[in-house]
Amino acid sequence: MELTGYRRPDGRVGIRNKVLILPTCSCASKTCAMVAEQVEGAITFTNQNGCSQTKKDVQYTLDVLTGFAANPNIYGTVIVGLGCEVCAAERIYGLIRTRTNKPLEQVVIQESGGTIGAVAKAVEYARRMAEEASRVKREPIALSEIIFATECGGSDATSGLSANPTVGNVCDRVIEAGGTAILSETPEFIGAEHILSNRAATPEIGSQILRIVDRFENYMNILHTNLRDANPAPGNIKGGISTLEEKSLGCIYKGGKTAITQVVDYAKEVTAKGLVVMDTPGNDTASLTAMAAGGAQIAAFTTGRGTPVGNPIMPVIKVTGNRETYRKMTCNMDFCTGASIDGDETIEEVGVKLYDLIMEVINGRKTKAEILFTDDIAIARFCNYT
Amino acid sequence: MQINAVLIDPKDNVVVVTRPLDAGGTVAYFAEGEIETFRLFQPVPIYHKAARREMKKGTVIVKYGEKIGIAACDISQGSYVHIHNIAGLKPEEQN
Repeated sequence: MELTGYRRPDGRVGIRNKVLILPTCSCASKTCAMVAEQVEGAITFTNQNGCSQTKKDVQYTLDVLTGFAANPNIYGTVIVGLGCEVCAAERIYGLIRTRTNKPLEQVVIQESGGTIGAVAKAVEYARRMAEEASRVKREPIALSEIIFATECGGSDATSGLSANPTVGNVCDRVIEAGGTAILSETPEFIGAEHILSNRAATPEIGSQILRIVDRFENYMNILHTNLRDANPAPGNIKGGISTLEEKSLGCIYKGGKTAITQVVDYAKEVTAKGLVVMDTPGNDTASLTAMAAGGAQIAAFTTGRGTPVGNPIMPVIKVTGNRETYRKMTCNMDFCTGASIDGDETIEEVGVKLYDLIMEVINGRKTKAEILFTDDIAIARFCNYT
Repeated sequence: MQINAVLIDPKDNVVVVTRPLDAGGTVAYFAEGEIETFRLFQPVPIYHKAARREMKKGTVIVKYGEKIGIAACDISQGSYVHIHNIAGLKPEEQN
């Protein structure tokens, strides 16, 4: 199948072509919603953060906001700021400019006559960008230009048995074609970190994997929470999981079997080809948000029990290993890997079908989450608001 | 032949059964495109593991193509494999 996408002036390729109305902080979020409502092809989201945050949390927020704007699925961005926040519009403008030369404008509510003036100004910028964006044509692209994000949540026994191995099979194919896949969710590495570390392309990358797991556990220790001792939980054992390694392997298998070529922090730009590990929390929405900010144009999300979660920046393909869940949540599920459980097909055969669906979604086929506007975001946080 | 188990990786010495199976039944699954079978001599609950190979005490148990534990006793082909006969890996055995 020939793949097509939108070639951006910074050299990257997008598979969607949206104008992003970017709220710098919670105070600007509602204004952004008013702007996006008036312009076809514009998207926005609720940013709960951007101010009253510790230095570490400010960094998470800045990385997500600049990463969203730099994501190649975005044609151009209109930043809407309040005027007194820590993650100020001008600061974000400068950071985005270090990443991309795509169209970029900024509006500050306090200096534009309040909500009504700011909306008028931002709608005009967005209207012009939407018009320009509509004139960009899809061109042939290569799979090697795609960053494929993986996520799992609402897991059950069929996740580790069928859905995750199938997505892992797709990751291997994408990487074989010269592309990139992202494996995320650090707490799910616990117990299998030595396996991931042994699969690292270099000893340094192996040490980084061990370090992010160690760091995550240290955060938890501050709050007197231990993720290792209680695993596998009695429910896991009842479900057939015998050891901690087995449990974590069921999660990390969605990244496939290739060598890990890079480890990046939360929401940081993914620059390597091959299998990249991103340090994200287990919260699905916050993890998908980080991978979109890292540059992923598309995601596959495995779920045994079913979830509606999507993302505003990239299409999210929902994959369940459970035929019952597919039947109960057909409006949210894009694909079912149940045929490999029932023995009708092998994991490889189901993997080929999922791969084909992903190629269609790259070419413009809409996912269930896109059609139902389930465009959730969450930015990870370490500390309470200050 | 009714397929009733999944071999996740060709290197695995255990398979996961996809329906509850009784002692005496035949486990059938795809191994690199071919159907492979063995006889079960213990009941295995749905989504639990059965031994695909004979494993002497101390043998590394492989699922997902990776080490998940070691055999705590001799395990014959067709046995139910779970916490009663798997020991966790010691740190030096993890690599």
